[in-house]
Amino acid sequence: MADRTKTVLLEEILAVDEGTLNEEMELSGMGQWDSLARISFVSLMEDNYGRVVGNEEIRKCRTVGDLLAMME
Amino acid sequence: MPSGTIRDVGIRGIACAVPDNRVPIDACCDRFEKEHVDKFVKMTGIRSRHLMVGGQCVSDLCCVAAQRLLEHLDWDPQSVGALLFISSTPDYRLPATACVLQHRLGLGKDCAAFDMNLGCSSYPYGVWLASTLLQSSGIERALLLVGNQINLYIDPDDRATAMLFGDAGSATALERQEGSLMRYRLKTNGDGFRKIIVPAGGARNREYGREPYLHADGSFRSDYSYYLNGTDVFNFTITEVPEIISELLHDCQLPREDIDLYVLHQANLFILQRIAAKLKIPMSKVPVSIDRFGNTSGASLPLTLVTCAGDAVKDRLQTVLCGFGVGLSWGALSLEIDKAACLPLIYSNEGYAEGSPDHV
Repeated sequence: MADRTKTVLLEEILAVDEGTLNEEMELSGMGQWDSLARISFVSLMEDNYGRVVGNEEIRKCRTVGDLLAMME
Repeated sequence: MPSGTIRDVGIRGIACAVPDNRVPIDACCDRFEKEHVDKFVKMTGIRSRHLMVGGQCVSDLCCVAAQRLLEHLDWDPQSVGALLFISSTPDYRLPATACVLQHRLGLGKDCAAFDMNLGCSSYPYGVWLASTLLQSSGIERALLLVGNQINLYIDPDDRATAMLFGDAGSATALERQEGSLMRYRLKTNGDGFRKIIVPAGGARNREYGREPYLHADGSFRSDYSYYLNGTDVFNFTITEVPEIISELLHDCQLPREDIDLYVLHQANLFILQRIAAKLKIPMSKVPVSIDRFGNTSGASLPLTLVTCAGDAVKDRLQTVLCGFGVGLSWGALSLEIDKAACLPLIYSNEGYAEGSPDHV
C-alpha cells in the first residue's frame, strides 16, 4: 500500500486534518493517541494487514513513523 | 471442562432495575473537551447512563428487582432455597451481601445464600451455578442477583473510563422445569488478571498509598482506582468471544441463523460490531443497551435482554448470551426464553437505611 494511503488511514484514526501528520511527530505528545485510537489501530491492522497487534508492540512505537512502519 | 448441558431447569423471570437518574453523556463536557466526548460517543455508542444518587448500592437495585419478581411470580419467599449475589462491589467487606438480601427479601432460613466475585462474566457463571444447585441439591427455586457499581472505583479524570460505566442490578428466578434445556461454556485466563484491576483496597498491596504514580506500563494512576488495559482487553475480546460462541453453537448443533438474539456484554458498540462481523451475524440480531445505560458490567446481559426482548416478534426466543471481562473470565450460554418472562424495567432510587452502622 502506498505511503500516502497509510498516512490517510492514520489521520482518520487520530481524527486530525489531512496533511497534518509527519513521521517525526511524537505519539506521547499527541492527545489524540489515546486508548480509543489504539483499539482503532488494532482493528485497522487486523482488517488491512491480517495481524493482531498487542499492547506491548504498540507501546514500543514512539512516533507516527513507527506506526506507519508497522503497517504492512 | 466446564461445558455442558443443563436439563430441566428453566428461567421463570428476569427483572432489572436502574437508578431513576438519567445522565446524558454531554454532561461530561464540563470535565473533558467536546472533541474527546464526541469521539468517545462514536466508539462506545453511549449517549446516556443511569447513575446512583446518595448512598444507594447495587444490592438495592438487585433487591427491588427481586421483590418485583417474587410478586410477579407469586412465589412464597420461604420457597426460595438458594440466593446467589454475584458482584465485585458488595455492600461490606463482610458479611456476604447475599445474607443481608436473604433478610431483606424475607426468605426462610432454609436457604443457601452466598456471594461470588465476578464482573462481566457473572451472568453465564451465575445461571450455570444456580442451575447446578437446583439439579443436585434438593432445591426447587433459586434467585440469582447480579450487578456491579464500578463507578465506586473510577478515577473521574481517567479519560478512558470516566464516562463508561452505568449502574444497574438484576434478579433472575430459576426453577426446576421439566423439558428445559440450556447449554453453556465457561473459561478463565488468569494470566490476564492485571488487564482489568483495582490493585489496592483488598488484602494485596495494602502498604501502597493512595496517590497516583507512573506505572511500569506507562499509565499514571492510583492503585485504588480501576485500571483497564483497553488494547489487550480488546484483543482478548475479538479473539475469544467469537470462538466461544462458535463452540457453543457447535454444541447446540444449531446453525447461527436459528438464533434469534445474540446478547453480548455491552463493553462498547465498536466491539459488538467487530464480534458480529467476525461471527457473520447481522447487527439486527445483536441487541444494544449501552446507548441508554452505558457499560453495566455483570448486569449488562439481563438488562439488554429485558430492554430489548420486547422488540422481538416471536414470543419465545432462542438466545445465545456471552459475558466477558475482568479475570479474565468469560462464558457463553444458550437458552430459550419467553418474552413474557422479561419484566418491564424498574427505575428506583431506593437505598437501605438499616444498612448503616448506627441502625439498631
